[in-house]
Amino acid sequence: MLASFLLASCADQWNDHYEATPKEMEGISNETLFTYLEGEANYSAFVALLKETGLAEELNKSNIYTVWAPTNDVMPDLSGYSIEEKRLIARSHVNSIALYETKLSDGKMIKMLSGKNFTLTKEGDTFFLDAKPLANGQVCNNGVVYVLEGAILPKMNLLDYLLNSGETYSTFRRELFARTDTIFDLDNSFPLGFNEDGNQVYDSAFIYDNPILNKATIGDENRDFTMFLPSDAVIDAALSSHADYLSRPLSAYDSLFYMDWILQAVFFAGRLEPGELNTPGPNSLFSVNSREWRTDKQTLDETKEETSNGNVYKVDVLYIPRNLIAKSIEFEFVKTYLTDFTADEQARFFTLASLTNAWYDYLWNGKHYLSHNSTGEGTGSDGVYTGDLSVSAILFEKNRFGVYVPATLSPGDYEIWVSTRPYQNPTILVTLNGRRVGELPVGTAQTHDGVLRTVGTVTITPEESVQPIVVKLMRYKGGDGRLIVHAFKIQPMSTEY
Amino acid sequence: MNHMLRYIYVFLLSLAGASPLIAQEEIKGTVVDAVTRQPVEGAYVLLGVHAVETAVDGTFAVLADDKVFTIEVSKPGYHTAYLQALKGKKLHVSLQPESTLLYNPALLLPLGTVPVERKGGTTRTLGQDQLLRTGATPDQALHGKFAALRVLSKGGMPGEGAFVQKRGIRSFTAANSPLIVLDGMPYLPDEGESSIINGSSRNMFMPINTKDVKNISFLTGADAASYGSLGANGVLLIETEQSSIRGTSVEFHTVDGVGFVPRAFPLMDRAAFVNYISDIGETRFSDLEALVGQFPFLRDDESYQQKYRYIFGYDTDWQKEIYSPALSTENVLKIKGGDAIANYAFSVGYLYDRGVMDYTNFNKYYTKVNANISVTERLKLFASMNFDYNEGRLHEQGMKPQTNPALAAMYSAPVVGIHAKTLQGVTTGRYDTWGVTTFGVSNPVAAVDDILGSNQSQDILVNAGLTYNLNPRFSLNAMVGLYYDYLKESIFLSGRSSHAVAPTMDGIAENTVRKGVQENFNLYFKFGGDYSKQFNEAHAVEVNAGMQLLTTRHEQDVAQGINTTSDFYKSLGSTTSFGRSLTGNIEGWNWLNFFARVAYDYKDLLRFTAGLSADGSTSSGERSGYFSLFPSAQLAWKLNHLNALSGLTWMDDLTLRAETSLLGNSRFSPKLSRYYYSNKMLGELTGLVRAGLPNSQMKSETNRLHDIGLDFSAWGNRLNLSVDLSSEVTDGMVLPNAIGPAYGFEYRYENAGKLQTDAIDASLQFSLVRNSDVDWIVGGTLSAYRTIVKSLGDVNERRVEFSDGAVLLSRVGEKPYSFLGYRADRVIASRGEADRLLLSTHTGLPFEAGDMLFHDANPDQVINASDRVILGNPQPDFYGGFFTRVRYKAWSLSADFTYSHGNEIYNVQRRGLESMSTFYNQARTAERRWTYDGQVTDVPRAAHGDPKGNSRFSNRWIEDGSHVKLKNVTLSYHHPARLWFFHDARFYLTGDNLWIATKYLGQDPEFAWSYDNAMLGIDQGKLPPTKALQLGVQLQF
Repeated sequence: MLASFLLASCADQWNDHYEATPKEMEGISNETLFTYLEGEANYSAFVALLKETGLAEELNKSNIYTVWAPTNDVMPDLSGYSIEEKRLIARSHVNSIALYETKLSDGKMIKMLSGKNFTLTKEGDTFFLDAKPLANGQVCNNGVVYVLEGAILPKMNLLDYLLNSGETYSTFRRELFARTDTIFDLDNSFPLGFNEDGNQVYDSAFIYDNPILNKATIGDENRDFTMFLPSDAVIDAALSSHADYLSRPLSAYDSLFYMDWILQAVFFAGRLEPGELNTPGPNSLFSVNSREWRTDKQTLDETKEETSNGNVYKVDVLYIPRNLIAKSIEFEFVKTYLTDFTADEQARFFTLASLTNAWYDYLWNGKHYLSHNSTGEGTGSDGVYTGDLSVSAILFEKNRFGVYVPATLSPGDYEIWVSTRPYQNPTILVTLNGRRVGELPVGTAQTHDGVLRTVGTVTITPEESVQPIVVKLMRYKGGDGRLIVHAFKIQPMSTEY
Repeated sequence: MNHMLRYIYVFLLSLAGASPLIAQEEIKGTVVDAVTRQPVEGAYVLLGVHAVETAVDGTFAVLADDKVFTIEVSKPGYHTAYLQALKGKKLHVSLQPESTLLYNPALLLPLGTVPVERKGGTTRTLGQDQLLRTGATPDQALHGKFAALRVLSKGGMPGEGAFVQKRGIRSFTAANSPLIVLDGMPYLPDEGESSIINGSSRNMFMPINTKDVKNISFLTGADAASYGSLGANGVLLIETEQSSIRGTSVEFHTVDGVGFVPRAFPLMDRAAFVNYISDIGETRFSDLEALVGQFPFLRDDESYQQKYRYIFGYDTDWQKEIYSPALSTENVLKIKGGDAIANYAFSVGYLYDRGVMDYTNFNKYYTKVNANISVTERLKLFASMNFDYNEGRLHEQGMKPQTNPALAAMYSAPVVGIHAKTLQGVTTGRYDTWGVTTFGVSNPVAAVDDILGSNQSQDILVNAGLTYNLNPRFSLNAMVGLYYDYLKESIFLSGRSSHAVAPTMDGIAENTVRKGVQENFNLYFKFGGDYSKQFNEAHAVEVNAGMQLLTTRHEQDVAQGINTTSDFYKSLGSTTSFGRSLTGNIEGWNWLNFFARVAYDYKDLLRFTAGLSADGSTSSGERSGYFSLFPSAQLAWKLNHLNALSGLTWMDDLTLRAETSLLGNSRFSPKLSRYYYSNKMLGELTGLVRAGLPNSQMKSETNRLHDIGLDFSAWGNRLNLSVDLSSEVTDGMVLPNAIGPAYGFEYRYENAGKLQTDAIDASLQFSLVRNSDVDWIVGGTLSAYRTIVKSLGDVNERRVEFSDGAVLLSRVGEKPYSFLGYRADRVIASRGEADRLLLSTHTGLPFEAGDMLFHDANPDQVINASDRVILGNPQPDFYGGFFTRVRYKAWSLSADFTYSHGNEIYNVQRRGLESMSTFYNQARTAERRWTYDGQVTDVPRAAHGDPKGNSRFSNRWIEDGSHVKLKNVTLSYHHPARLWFFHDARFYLTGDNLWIATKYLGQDPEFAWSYDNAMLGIDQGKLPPTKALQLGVQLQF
């Protein structure tokens, strides 16, 4: 009898101690979260939502959750919502990880199953989630339930907003998602076996790679953005206005090029407030894709629309910056370089007075430049030498196929730079398309320094923008001398947008 | 004192009632069977040259002899009886049948075997059928068998043996274990803890096999006096079987069995673990995203990646994965033979014991030869040789989750699996490593499989001697013996290649090689003489004197290295130069002893023995005078031989005993009393440096024992009872004494301490039913004792402090090695309560709701070291064993229990499983941890790093280790007659450790970390003693 008593006491002691929940465990429910919620009449509306959206099964799983449960009296009527919306709402009331009462702290960010983030705040002794007061944590065997005095109706995020933005914004949306590449993600694909060819078959996972959205991760609930959304009409207006400016119809290539700029220019980090948008005067915002948004040129509707991860503003007038296609051309008068051209091309390239005898090879700094000696004063009006000692060239550039084509410039203001080595301080006159650009200053130390010096500015008219550019350098004023031309550069004015 | 003894002597003599002496008288008596009480006819009664046989009514009359005064009564089938031929007194001789169960007619003493009737001291001798039928070495067979001997299985790792100690604590510095004397040869085995394989220590009894044992005695006090300063801890005398028969006998004994998987701790399953990680994770990562990043299985939404589903998709019960039922087998062949001139007993055996933990095992190959040669009537030679070779594969034990697979199996997260999966989802042969990277716990299956711990050892114990009888009264004896023990141990902690075993040394050592060898050599000489003379029927004297010399040499070398190129390379040479270490020591210790003993016997009524030993050892300092004297005196008064009681023929024995003895303990290192040398590195140079601060006056500890005892036997030994009251004082206990910094050492050892143990030891055996068909015997032992610290030199208390905060306190007036710690009262349930209490830690952190409420002993509202109190003591109040044996015809069933009461255990293992301060898996207790305000529970909240110290060393982890354990149960069938071609056959089924009753919450309250007394009661994860069933067959050809 003693033995049986001891046996009983031994087994009891071990079991009593290691039993997870003793019989009298005040305040803790041994049920799963869902069973508990189901048993509380006050949550019936929320429970119905959980069942409808399939979350009920999840809450009975072994994983650990916190449920922020709205009671029936604060539960809104959701009959008008789609099942997707209901699902989003339901999943915004549950998060992975059990947040026991002691773990609540002011400012804690909680990510719900829906992916939406909500912040806990504390005033006095009361905690608020999404500005709704909390009460009464109930610990269950797979997590904890709080009473939330108000239902969370989660906002869409920017991505959802865009996806749901309707036909008005179809061009922008289409163009944005057209830039997505789908890349097979080997690491996260679950292999299923082999097909009859012996190739691995996967339950495939894909990475969506979009050069614009890689930086503007508008689907990420953890980061905030601001999106300027241009409607189809705004985009069309911007493109046609730009075609007018260029005095030519836009090619497909042009459209692609300008569309790229638009997509890159409208996503900004952080939540921008209306006051920061249409400031007068030249003020630049830089997008997450490093494009400049000049607030004086662009016009936005200042009505702010908030999403869960950022603000949206509609674009009223979209302006495509002029300097997008304006480019610098820098050309070096090097003999070896010139020999890349055929004799015929050279003849077209240079209109030289006496290329054969007066111009010769001048070696400096390891490169062969053109050099020309002459004597005497200029005789033409303004003292311009009319015949000799001038170089005239059509600027060429390599196109994207590597072929030299005559360079054209878009309309706009340009600055001209020249590097020469005039001997005995002659002044050099520079013209572009027959128009005078300016003179190289007299009296500067004319050494072989290879430094480009500004000559003046010139405006390319829309008519000129479709023609080859002809520049001419002439010895001008001064006595006998030698002209060694190093380089020439035409560069858009920095103030251009 | 002398006056006192004289008075007692005169008083006792008057009680004896001397009767007139008449020459050439007949001595008359009756011989009866002790069991049936019927007269024995035809018993052979021998007195000197006269011999008669008993008549039908059992009576005899034999002529008295003038030289010989001891009557010998014998008959085949009975144990021979010896008694004094007292004239004029009718002798009652009760012959004990040889078939009597659990009766041992022999008393094994240092001077040899004598009839049990001559017991004069505390010594009991157990024969083979009184030992437990368990374990290969005799220590395991002694559980609960000697009242004063505490026996605890060290654990379930194969080959470990048992902790064996005379109850109580006698020394803090010197050895506490009894001296083992095998066939007259004392040897000093290695009792140290392995520095290669954590938690492993050797079996001191390795050279001895239980199946060869004939008798075991446990000697204390005056009976052990001849061992002088080796005797204070008691002496286990072991006698092995000799050939006692003429002709040849062959015996084959096989035992095969299975060991069962130990009881698993109830741990959290996947669901509870995930909940726990979510809870404690928030105390480590305030950012929930970081928490989910570390533990992806916490999230189960769209963002949860497929690969995590297969990495963390398990619910593994790790404790099931590293154990499996284990087979064991032992086979012994014994051959005995010889003739009147020479005889021998030879045994050879093989033992294989697979441990229940996977990849552990123990192999033992052993042989033993005993030979006796009668060269002449006077000269007898004997020789004995024991040899064993052992091989084991072991695992680390103790609180190391990296390398102890059992602990790893408890701490391992259930969410990870055993094997890694490929990207193809196919389970590979490689071990999963996510448990290491995510939770910092080794993969238990990898640990059990890849960590290679092994040892090989051999013991040689050889002794030989002679006895020369100059005349019937005077004999000389001499013995020489040697004991050599060699041990090679190695362990390879893998992990560099597999990454499935967590690195050690704070992450530095990705794999580790440790190897070591150890040698132990003892040489023993003894020379002595025995003289005995019986002057007349009333007075007899016996004198023994001699000298003994024991020299020992112990050497140990240990090497360690880390980070071999890969786990494929397991040699020390492949390790990096960083982290390589080499340590070792050589120590010699010698002992020289002279002893003399005089016994005086008066009329079989009074027996007085006095002894004196003088011995010295290497432990004594130069100025200590070397030799210490150890006197002893013993008086036994056999009341049943009083005339007044001689009519009570049912009484076999009633003896009152009193003894006092002074023994010593010199078994401590000579380094404490003399300089030694160690080498020191200085840059690239090494040099020998004189080390230590010796105490040249150091001498052996002394141990004074007073004992009063009573032996009572009745009804033909149906009832046997022994009770001893003793008080024992250790004086001059060696202690480290703090000295001034000018010495350059912190401590110097001195003979400064004093301990006292008061004890009652009792053993009882009673045969409830005894007839030819049925025997039913019950019995048991009890030892109740209390050791108190009387002095600790200049200080009032001494502490042994462990890195986990545990403190063993020895304070004057208290028990030694008491647990000193905090007293946790309950869990603070609510904020309101915490605000009222306003307690804080010593660092100023407030105790909040969910923290433990610790007792604020000095009410200053700060819980700090000064609030610690004594929480308990690992020494029991009483312990022992009890048994029952039932025989029905050829069948017999025995059950042997051990028990212990009042011993507290520090459950380190449970502390690790309930601390809730790491990401390790925890016991299911953690599921009722405090989680919300107002919750009333006994388990505090989980907090990473445990900033409030809720899991500090407190009474939460001190438990009552009281228990009753069914140590062994055996059902046997004995077929004494011819069976096929066997003379005798015995079949038995035996079970070990099958049942236990205890409140203890660890796996088993019976354990011992090593032979270290201070570590008793600290349960830090030894594998529990194995539950096993075995089937034995013993056949004689």
